[in-house]
Amino acid sequence: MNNRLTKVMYAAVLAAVTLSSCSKNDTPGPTSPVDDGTRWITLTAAFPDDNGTAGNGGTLAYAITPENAADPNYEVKIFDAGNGFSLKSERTARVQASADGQYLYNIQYTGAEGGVFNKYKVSGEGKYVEDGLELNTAIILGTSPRWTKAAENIGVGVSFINARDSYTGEVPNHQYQHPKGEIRMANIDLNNNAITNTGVIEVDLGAELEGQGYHVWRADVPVLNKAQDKLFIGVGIRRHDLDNRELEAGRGGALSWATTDERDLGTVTYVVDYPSLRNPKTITSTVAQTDNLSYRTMTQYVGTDGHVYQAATAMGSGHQILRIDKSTNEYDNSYNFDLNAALNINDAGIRAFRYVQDGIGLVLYTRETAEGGYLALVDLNNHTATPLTTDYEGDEALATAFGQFQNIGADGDYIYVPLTPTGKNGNLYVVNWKTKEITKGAKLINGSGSHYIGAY
Amino acid sequence: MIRLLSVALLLLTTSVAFAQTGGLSGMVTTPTGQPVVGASVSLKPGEQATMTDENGRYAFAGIPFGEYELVITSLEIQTVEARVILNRARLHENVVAEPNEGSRLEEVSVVRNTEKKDMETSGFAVAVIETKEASLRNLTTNELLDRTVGVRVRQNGGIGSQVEYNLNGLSGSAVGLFLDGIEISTYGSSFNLNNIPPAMIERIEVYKGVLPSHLTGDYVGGAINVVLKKDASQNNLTLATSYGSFNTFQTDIGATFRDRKSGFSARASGFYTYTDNSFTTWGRSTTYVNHLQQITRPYRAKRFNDTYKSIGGRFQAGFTDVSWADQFFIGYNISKTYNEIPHGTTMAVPYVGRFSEFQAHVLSLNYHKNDLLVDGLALTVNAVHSNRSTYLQDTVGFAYNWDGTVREVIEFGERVPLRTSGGGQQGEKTISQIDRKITNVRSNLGYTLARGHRISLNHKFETTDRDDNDLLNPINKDLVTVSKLAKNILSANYEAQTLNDRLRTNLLVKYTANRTSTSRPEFVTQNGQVGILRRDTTTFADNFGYGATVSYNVISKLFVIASGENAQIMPNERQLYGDPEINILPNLRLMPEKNVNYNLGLRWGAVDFGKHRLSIYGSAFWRNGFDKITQQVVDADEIEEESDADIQTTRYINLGKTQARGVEGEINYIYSNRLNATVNFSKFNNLFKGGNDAAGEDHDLYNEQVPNEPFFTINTNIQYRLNHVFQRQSVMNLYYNTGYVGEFYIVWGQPEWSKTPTQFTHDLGASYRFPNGKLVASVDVKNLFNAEMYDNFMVQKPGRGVYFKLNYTISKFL
Repeated sequence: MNNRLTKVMYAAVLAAVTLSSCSKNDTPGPTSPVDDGTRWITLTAAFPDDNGTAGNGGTLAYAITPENAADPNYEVKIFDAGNGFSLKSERTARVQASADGQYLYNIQYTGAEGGVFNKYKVSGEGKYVEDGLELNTAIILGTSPRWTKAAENIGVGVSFINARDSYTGEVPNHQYQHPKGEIRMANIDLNNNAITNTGVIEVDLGAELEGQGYHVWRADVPVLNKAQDKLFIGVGIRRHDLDNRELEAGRGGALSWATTDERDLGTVTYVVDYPSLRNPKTITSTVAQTDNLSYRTMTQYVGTDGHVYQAATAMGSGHQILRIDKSTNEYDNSYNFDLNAALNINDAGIRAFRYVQDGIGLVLYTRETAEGGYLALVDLNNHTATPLTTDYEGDEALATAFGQFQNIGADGDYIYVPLTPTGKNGNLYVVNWKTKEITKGAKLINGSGSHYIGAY
Repeated sequence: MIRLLSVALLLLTTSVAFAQTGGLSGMVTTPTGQPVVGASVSLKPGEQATMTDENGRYAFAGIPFGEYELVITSLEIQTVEARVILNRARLHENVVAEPNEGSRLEEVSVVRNTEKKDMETSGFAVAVIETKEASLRNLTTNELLDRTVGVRVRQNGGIGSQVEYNLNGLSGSAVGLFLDGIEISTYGSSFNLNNIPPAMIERIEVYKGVLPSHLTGDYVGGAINVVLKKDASQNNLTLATSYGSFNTFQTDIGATFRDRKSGFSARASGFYTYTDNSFTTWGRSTTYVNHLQQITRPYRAKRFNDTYKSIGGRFQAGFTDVSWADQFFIGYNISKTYNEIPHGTTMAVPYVGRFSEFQAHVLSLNYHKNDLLVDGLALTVNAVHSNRSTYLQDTVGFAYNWDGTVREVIEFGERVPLRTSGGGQQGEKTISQIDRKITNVRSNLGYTLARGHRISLNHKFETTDRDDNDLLNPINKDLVTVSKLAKNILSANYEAQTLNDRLRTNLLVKYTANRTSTSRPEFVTQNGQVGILRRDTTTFADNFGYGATVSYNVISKLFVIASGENAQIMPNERQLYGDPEINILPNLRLMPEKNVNYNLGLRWGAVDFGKHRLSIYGSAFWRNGFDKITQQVVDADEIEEESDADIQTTRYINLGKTQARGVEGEINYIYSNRLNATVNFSKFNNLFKGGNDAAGEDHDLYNEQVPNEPFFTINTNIQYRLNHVFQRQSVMNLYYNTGYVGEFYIVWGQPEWSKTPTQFTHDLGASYRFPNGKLVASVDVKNLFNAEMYDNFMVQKPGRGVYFKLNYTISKFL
């Protein structure tokens, strides 16, 4: 009964959205303009901020054809005046794209319009046209939102807020107080540019874990399951050291309870019903203990087999890919893809991961004992990995670029990976995931303190 | 159409000049410099007469503008008759008279030099703004400054909103703001250029680049020194009140009293300002967000939650021209302000219920004495102690739209009011109070070595005690880090007038020493019990700077002026520790900023061609900043907790290297005391010259224009005077002003979407002085064509506004 009512309400909302969209002729939606059938591949690149932090300034986009992409004699000069299109965002844009590469979606990251969602129609080269209404997500998600395309045409933004102080009372009689906190979520209809539902999770890890000082500090990388009725949200876990009563000064001088790196808790993911965003619960892996947080890239996908594959990694801290079962929506603890084992090394850290098709994916990884950034095709079904050699893999500046990497492009048999060591020229690499061949494609002309961060 | 109208206006407006009455004062000396005491000084026509005092000084006040014969007679000297044209608020007329030894009148030279002129040809790049005229009109001090050559006042909205001053591309902490030579911040946020009425101000000096030693501090961009009225030579009472658009009400009152026998003088002045700032905005920054969070823009809305209310008083009593002091005043300054904050750094989200209250109690002492103990030794002391507080409240937990209604959202499938994430309008729910105790003392000892050679020694001491209180979640003060900053600046300069007084040079040296004491709590565990220990650390930083100015009088009325300096500036308290009331986070890692500045300019005139009078000024400047301290929107990625990352907050950072090169110029034309027209412009390139990347390559943004700063402005002011309109002996002045600001971008790379468009405004005004000379009425229309005006981060400023004002003066009431 209740369920039915909810469904009716969503139907009403969707109808309203669709109607309001149709009533405006500047809001094309999915049945939008002409295209000549070209599969444009958008490349994005980030330039430095005025502090000199590489790639932190803003983001440019430039679309090329698959032919150009594969041509090592073709040069992409995204930074030359008038070439790259400046995506709206004061800081590095957080860009997602439709599977066919026809639309880019972005939520502006800080700046005068931080938190504003924009959609662009891709029309080749530097031609990007804003499409449909802008959305203001700032109140719900903050002005530097964490969001992803959780499924085709569906975006989800998440934000961890309202953590409490970690102690109460006056020193020396201060008492530990669990920070709790909330995760705010927003469903974004990417076709009609609308936030169709929002919700809040009141974080609760259970008395046992909370009594051990475990707490959430971030939410990230939301993804929908194949049935699109469950939403998985990666969370960052930290642990307060309850045996240590000496408070620590954090940023801005505020004191908080001391933390410890000791962890006896597996990777945690929050699950809520979709699209209602109700019934939150956590699922915990027993095979990995690394958070499934990303930084600027997406790290969990629905596989061709319907399971969710999740790289348990935060900023290169993990080397495992986990599976969430399609029928139970719980971790499949019998599954563990170990990149170290597959490559026969012991120091890999996954920086970016893209599931392509039929159990095949691509990872960008760095190593603790070697400089540079590396590529490998992974076979998630057979637990094998194929290293792919590039010209730049030993260059530490490529590891810097990996730190801000956003998107590995895929279309048909091909995977597109732009590789530019920070501040140096590089190439767009084209990988045939079926034949496992890697070829050097278009030359990417770079700028100082800049790097190419995505292909879509 | 608008363009046509404005051209027509330009053509129509043929003049205006000076109005009303002015003061004439000066000194009568013999050629050897001896004062002529007790000489009779009279003005013809008219019946005004006075006597020179023991220093040979005389003064007249309240004289209608015009041409006069100044007649000085005494037994000691030969009678002098000098022609004077009184055409400004204060005219200084020194007269050299031959002693009456023989019987023949040989030669009389009249040396005329206004204070403005004197300063502007001293070698410093300085503009002096006289406020007499403006005080009768509906002009705020900030508006007056904004029209000045090379000055750009950057204000986040209407009256009372945060202001930053940009002098030829340098802004923020690089620019000093002084009130009578003391940092204006000492007086608190409730007494500043937003609310001090021009009527309280004698003049405003705007120094670009090199500063004179009496204003030394941690400033390299220049300084704005507001000189409040000091003259107490006559008793008078003035009253002014104005009302206008956006429910803006402003009134001020001023009274001076001097007892001639004892030299006892007293001044009292006060002001009250109220405005709703309820102007309409319609640019692309104004949005409406529906329940699906879809944005409609541009949207037309009236601003709300933007009330500004300010009241203040200043009382001074002391002695002038007595044997032990030329000036000795004890003062008390009280001010209170209530300020609603309508939005953050940008207009993205309107706020409801966020406001701050400021209060300040300030005690001051001014002492000045020439020829102290020995001839040629002068001492000036300005000491101020203030007790100021800032209260901030933000406890409304719903998000609003620009139409004033609560925003909605679909939450769990239902349409509900949109809650903000932190329970406040700008993040966390907040009630806080910051109390500061500031002591600021500036002393200057000057000694004239010989005629034309003067050395002076300057000392400035400043210390701030700051006490932060979180009233919503009171915290244990034992756990708070406490910092205290004491600043000493010692400077010396040597001024010389050589080559027949044609060359004026000034050498300056400056030594700055900052001592920061920080007391930080630390935890110790003993026998399983946790206790707190305070660790006190004191950091000391000092630096040395130097500079020089030159002014050369090439030919009659043509001056070449040049100045240069090499100086460092230390971060100030606000930059280091932040300021929640204006959304600034702390940054304790700030380094001092280093600057090398040069100015080169020309001043010509005023030159008379019959009834025409012309003066021209032009200057080029070259500023190099290293580790420039700039306010920047807080960057999220270096902060792990995303909740801290918010555009609404900023902090100060060292921005690597910058370079500003540019020119400014001003032409002033006066016709027959009727028309007074001024055009000025400032254009500069403020370029980013920041560092190298890891590979040693130039930064990708190298040579790009620093964003979010306007760099091309033009101002035109025309004034035309009509006599005997409606009534005989009345004076009517018409005013026309235009302001142009070239387009600029708010982010790096100059993408089209971040462009702040070209702005062009027109203001019209008129004032009418009734024949009795006591009452002046004025009307002003600002932003006549309702142009779209922007500032920082595309915050829209007021459209058309109409204001009325009445001024009433009673002279000699005792």
